[in-house]
Amino acid sequence: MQKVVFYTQHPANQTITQFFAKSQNLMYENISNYEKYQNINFVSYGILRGTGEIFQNTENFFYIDHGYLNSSKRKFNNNDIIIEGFTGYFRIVKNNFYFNKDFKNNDKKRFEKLNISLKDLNNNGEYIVLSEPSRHIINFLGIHDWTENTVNKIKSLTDRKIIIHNKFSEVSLNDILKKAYAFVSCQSTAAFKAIAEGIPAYFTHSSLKDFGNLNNIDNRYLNHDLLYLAANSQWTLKEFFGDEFKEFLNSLE
Amino acid sequence: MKIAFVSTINLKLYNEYGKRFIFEFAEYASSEVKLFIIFEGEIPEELLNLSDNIIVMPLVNEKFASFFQKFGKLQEARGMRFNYFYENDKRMVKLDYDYKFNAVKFSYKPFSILQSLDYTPDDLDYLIWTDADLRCKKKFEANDLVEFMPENEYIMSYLGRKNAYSECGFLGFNLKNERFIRYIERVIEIYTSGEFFTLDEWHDSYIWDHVRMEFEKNYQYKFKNLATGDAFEKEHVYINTNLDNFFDHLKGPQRKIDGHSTEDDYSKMVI
Repeated sequence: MQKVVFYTQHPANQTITQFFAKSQNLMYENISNYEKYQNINFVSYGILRGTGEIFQNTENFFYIDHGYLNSSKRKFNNNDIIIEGFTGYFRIVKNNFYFNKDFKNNDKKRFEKLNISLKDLNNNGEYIVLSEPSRHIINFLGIHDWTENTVNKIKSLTDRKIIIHNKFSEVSLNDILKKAYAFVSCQSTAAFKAIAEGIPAYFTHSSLKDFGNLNNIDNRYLNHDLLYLAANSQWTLKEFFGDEFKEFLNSLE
Repeated sequence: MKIAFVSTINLKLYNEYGKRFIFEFAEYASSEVKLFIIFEGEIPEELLNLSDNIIVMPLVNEKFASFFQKFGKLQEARGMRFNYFYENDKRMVKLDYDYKFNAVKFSYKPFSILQSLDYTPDDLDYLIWTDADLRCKKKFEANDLVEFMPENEYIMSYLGRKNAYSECGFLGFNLKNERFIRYIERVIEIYTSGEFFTLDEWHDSYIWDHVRMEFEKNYQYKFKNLATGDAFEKEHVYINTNLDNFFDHLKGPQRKIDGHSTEDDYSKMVI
């Protein structure tokens, strides 16, 4: 099925989608022309400015967003996300927003290039960090009671203290992870950092929960395989031009 | 052989002459020759979809941001000269503009080159800087440009001029020579550290030359001067080389208005 890459009015979207489209010689279109196309693989970056609705209402798509590890730096300014460069990694997900659930390439080479050291299991963990999704994600996924439901679920499994963390928290993620027993999120990319820091991560989103099921929260396991899979599913804009990226895209078809 | 071009433009100059260049590039460059445009300001939509081999992106570079934060608002770094004198025993100051001291205006070029290196394909052999006041005269492909490229031990090709700073509307970088990045990083260091204030002129052509001579002398780096023979003594050196077969460089305001260089440009010597 033909891939058509769509751009919005946002410069970050325009930059990232241009690299995708032009490195792969794909058709490149303004999102306002989406209705002209049928039976295509819809490709774009992010869920704002009209892309989210299309992604949710189409069966075949490639979703691009910030990578799991070593992604580009960004600042949050009210509801706007400002990208401070495009040199980091971007994830490419087929028919999902967060993870290529059935992707099998767990080769370590790309992960090793990231220079992320893997710490041993943190045996001094005291509390469970519950990472709340952003307001955008809550609305997008329609998970308005996520925090309450997940707290209740965790309480049914363990008596450990739960600390809720989100992007407005005063304590940084790095600090809070130091004494974390486990990291629970819907689909947060911070979970990948947690695993590298020696904190087992658990997910509620369908694309990721097989890699860390909340029911196993007391069965502490660092799923390094998830990191290797993630490293093979994220790419820099420069890498878009390479053969390895083409092979990756083909493997998702 | 794989070649890409990089250039930078803002919206005002895009409308004056950059658009003409980019549209001509889309028409005349073969599809394997890419052009990366580092655009200041909102990118015109007509550029996004113009051609598969043209990628337009904003200037987002940490080193540029650091340089601009330090020096961007400093009038001295923007070419203003504070000339003090006495009149009726009173100390007066006269402000004059001199482009040779406008470090900020001409910094976009080196920082755009630096930025582009983070995004160009890994298998690229050469990266060409071009000013955006260029005209494309006929169709060209990568192999047509081989003679202008710095092969093997050469770091960069450039348009040197006798008794004048080089014409840096064209620079060709040898990406397969791993030492080229040290040259670019040194140029950038002169901007970010403020070292440019210690030089006799602060515009990029002077700085490219300054670092080139420093590297030739101290590290025996090799640079390829494309201006050989008579061309070296010509004021409009660009069109007096074989680059003239493919391009016209609209150096200065009048040529931009006219849309072409003049017959005199083929004979006028550097003064």
